[in-house]
Amino acid sequence: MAAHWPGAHPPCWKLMAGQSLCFRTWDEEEFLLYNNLSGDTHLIDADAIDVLLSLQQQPAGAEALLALLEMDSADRHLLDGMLEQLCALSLIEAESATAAC
Amino acid sequence: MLTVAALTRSALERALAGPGLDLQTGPFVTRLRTDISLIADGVALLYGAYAVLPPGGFADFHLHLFRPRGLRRWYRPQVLLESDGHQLFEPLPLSQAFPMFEWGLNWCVSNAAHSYLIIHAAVLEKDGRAVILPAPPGSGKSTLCAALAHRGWRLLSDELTLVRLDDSGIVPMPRPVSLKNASITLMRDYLDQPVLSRGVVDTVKGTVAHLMAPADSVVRSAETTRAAWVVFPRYVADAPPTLTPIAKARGHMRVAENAFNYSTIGEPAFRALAGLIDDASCYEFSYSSLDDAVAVFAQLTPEQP
Repeated sequence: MAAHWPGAHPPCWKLMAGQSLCFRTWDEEEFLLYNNLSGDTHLIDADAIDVLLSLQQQPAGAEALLALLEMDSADRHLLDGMLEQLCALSLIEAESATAAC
Repeated sequence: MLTVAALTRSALERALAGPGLDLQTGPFVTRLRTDISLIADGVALLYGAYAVLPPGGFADFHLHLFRPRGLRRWYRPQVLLESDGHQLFEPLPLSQAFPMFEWGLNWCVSNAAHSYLIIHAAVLEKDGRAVILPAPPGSGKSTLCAALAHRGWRLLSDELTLVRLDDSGIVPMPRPVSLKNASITLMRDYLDQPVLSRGVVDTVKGTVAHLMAPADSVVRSAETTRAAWVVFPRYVADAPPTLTPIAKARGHMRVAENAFNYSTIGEPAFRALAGLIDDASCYEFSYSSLDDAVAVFAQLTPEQP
């Protein structure tokens, strides 16, 4: 995802405004998320729901999210792929870097 | 309670051709008006156990089937269907009048009854627990449903599963089971003296016939229930009966794909379906023999809370 943001600062991610994060799980592995902004229901994994819940609390950059998921920097491409997908689903959006990131 | 069976043929035809027959099907009242004898034949044959309400009351749906005017009326007669004064479908050959009534009623429910989540699925109940069979056309859903409905399961619907939005309860709407092509012969052989409407050929679905719903299912149509199983059936020639568990989240997604109004209703539909899935085990089921399938369903056990 970083390649899509050629500016000097990596993006800071935040939950899309108005997203209510209505979700259910029956096994703590797969989660169903009702996207109240699009009307779609998404099947996502536990890491994705952790990221969304974290971003609901406050915006965060990739480094903070790597730490949240206990991933090391070698896994950065996995995180970037997830963030790109969540962005494509209009669940999160990038904002310019802030102190929180 | 007055039922269709209690009406003489002439009283039935007078009601249909006059103010309309107010027919109770599950939670809905349909006011049916027509002077087409093929429809009166089908109603008399297949709707005998259904309640007829006094004329002039509230009706959820207003269906009027009639022969259009013009020369065609004589050399190639057709039937038209209007709902609340609006033509629903293109005209069909007159021989398809009764299937058109059934399709029109399905259309009304699936397009207007948004106080329920409506799933394109058969649903049956035994011992207070329902099994939902969502499936696309060609999966053998209606055939399997017809077999189960005559082997110890109560028919709630062969086509439209109604889920209450507030508590995920399932509301019955038993109606005649729609059979197509080879299924018609199959069920004639499989069931003991089934009551079937005359086969209508050359419809968009091929040859269709309707199987009368068991009278007990109709009489008990006010008894709601809860889902215990969601089973996605698939007929596979020569396949042994195989029941494969699937994760609930995936079951939810697949049921949603088979719902008519999940997106229309939005979040309440998501919550209602999630509530239904809470109680239900989800499976894929492939089969080739009806007897094998009935035996597998007899062994289903509900999830422990």
